[in-house]
Amino acid sequence: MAVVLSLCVAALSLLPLVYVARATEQTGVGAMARLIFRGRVRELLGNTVQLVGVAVPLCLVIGIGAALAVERVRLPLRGLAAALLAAPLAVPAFVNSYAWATVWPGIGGLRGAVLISVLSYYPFVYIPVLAALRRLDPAVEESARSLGLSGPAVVWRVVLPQLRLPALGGALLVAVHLLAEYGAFAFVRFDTFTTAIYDQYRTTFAGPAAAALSAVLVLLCLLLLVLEAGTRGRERYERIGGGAAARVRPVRLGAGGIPVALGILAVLGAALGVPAWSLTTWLTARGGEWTAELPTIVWTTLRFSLLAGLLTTVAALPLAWLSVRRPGRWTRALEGTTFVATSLPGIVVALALVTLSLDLLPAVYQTSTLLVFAYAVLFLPRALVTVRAGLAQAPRRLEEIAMSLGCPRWLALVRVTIPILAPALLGSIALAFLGAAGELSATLLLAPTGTDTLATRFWSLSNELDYAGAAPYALLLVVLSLPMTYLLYRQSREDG
Amino acid sequence: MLSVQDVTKTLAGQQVLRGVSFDVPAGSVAAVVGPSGCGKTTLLRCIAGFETPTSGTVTIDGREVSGAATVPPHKRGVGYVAQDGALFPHLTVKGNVGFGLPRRDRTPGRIASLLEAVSLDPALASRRPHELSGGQQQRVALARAIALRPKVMLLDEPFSALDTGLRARTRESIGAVLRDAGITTVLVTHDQAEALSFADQVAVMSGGSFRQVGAPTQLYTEAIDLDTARFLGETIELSGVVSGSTAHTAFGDLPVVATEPGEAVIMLRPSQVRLVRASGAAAATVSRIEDQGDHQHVILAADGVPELLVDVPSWDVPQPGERVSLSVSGAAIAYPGSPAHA
Repeated sequence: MAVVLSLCVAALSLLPLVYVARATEQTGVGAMARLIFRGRVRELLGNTVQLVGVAVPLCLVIGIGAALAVERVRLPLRGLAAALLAAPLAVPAFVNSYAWATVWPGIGGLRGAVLISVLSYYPFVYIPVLAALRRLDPAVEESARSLGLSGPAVVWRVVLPQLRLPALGGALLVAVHLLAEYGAFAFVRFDTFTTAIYDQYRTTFAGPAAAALSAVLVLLCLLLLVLEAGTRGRERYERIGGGAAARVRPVRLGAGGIPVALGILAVLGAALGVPAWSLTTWLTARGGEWTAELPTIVWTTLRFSLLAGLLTTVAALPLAWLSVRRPGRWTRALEGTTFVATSLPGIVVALALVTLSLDLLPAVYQTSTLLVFAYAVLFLPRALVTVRAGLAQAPRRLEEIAMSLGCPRWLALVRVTIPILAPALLGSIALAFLGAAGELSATLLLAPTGTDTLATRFWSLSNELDYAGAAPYALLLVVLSLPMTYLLYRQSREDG
Repeated sequence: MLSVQDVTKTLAGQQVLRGVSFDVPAGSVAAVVGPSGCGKTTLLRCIAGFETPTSGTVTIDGREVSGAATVPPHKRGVGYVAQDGALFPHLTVKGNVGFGLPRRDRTPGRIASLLEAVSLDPALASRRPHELSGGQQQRVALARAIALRPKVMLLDEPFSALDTGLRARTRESIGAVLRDAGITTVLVTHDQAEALSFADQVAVMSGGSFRQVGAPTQLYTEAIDLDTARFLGETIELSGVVSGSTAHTAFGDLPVVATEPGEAVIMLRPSQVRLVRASGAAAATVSRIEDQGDHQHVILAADGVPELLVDVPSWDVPQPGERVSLSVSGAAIAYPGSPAHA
């Protein structure tokens, strides 16, 4: 039974690909090609390449630099700085663009897009690099010193090469987010495939033009996925043993520490200070106007997100079960399909569900059911990782022991497996819940008419330039993102 | 009490058990010893009911549990202790030990007496498994298994995860508990010394079937073939020619268990052999000595044959060049084949 359920779940997570394939078939390959090979697509591709080409290297420089600074240089409040540098992850990119537009009303174009991207996404490089730095064996660097290398030479020739894999993994994650982000780029009026798909949808609904753009975007995402698998596939299994307790001692830079400290302050000021200042300004501007509809919207968001958390976790269970209890080639292939889904942008998932539901099951179109379903497709990969880790804590052996102690199989499940699995299930529900609560692009497309979540209401208010009215929603969105950020940061510390 | 008849098992197209039969009398301890991958754990899992044999029967206390009908694991009355103890990580020691007991029997007094039975301090009852040492976890696993007074106890390499000193102590105390309780026990291990010292009856397993079953002394002194003899302990092997109850070797004539006459490998256990200094009829010359501290390796040479290594206590060591002969307690055993050399 687990096999059948897993096949269904895996198939569902590939719905966006089905959508692109169907649209191509219906439009005809020739017509589709004409829609793809035209000036507009070339322009979007140019924008995307520029954005990725500038923002990703900047994220690498800031992420690696910040990690080296807090881990290897003796600075005041080092621990606090290390934690704060991960915190920008809690400010959703579209909230960040709103905050920056407050202090810099003229923000726009590539410059604006790069600024927001770098400030929002550099922690994806910073966190894994910091974790890797903590795992490095000091003996390697001591050997390099004994071979005559100076301190900076050791960093360049020994430390940085060892950070290659986590840095690359982080860089690709940044790229995936750049392709999928809608709100931030729409706000600064920078066109990417995602914003173009949304505009197309608003003007011509889910027509062939939107499908053609989606096809290109999906291809770009799959390309990144292949790159990602290539760089980190092996590293996951070859973790350095937990035995290396020793840590490299931070160096004292004296006066040289001042520019380092100033650099950290500048990053923190731009990534955290600006949003904090803008939010405070707007929240206090009109005496903190918390409108009467706020509770309704909070309730709607909670309801959708909780349902999404539950559905995602239930969907992840059979796949996780197969991958832990019956590992093999087929199981890995099934899991692989869900990792394809990780890289697919919310906008394409939403568009796929709009077209497929209208064609096949019109009754669910514009219902909360379809929205929750979209959340489940989007957040299945992170739920799967969590549930699988939990299930690995409850091996079959323990059930067997329980049976040898007189429990029938179902009772062994109830008394042993489920209690051990429970924390992971809760964790998975929480992760999908938080993801759904802050999701913008899919929610814009799929939410029933007249229904708003925190993200969509924030979006419409800030688009109407009602910045003060949007502020309470922005604050709640930040608060909702905090637990996930904390979790990621803590995981990186536990690895070390 | 426990009877396994002709059990075969095919897992993923591979025949893991090829017709295994043995009987374990009530209250006795049997050991199955063999290299990893020989099928011993699968055999244990068939007895426990975690696997169903492809053919053959398993009978416990007169009731057939695998064969015509299959009795599920929880109705077999078979205790199981796994390699790492497999304690339930979400429960305390108390919760683990009382797991199989009916709710009303999970009293502090009962738990304490079970912990005492395996020489654990009852104060550990509220600890979590990860707060215990390896040896303690193993004993909690045993207490959990004996709480139900199983008819048969299965031990799957329960001592191999422990370090050397702890292993011997845990083994002795667990063996004593099981014997005192009169529980029929099967131990599976890859450590021949452990099997020989723990069990009343030892089965040597390889390639999915039993090579030989018998009492420890019998196996050690009368191994059925050379491979089994080597597996069960150190050997001294010489080429020789058997006639009657004497083997003619380059190191002199040695007493041998009577077999077919002709060329053979003459196998001795190191503890059987003593060096005798003799000037006259000596058969070998000491070629050199290797100091091992508590004993010495004496390497003997004789005409035209490979060297022979004999251990000698450090207090009475012959000198290089000295002529010696071998004195043997009991008799050597002759096997077909060719000798392994030191």
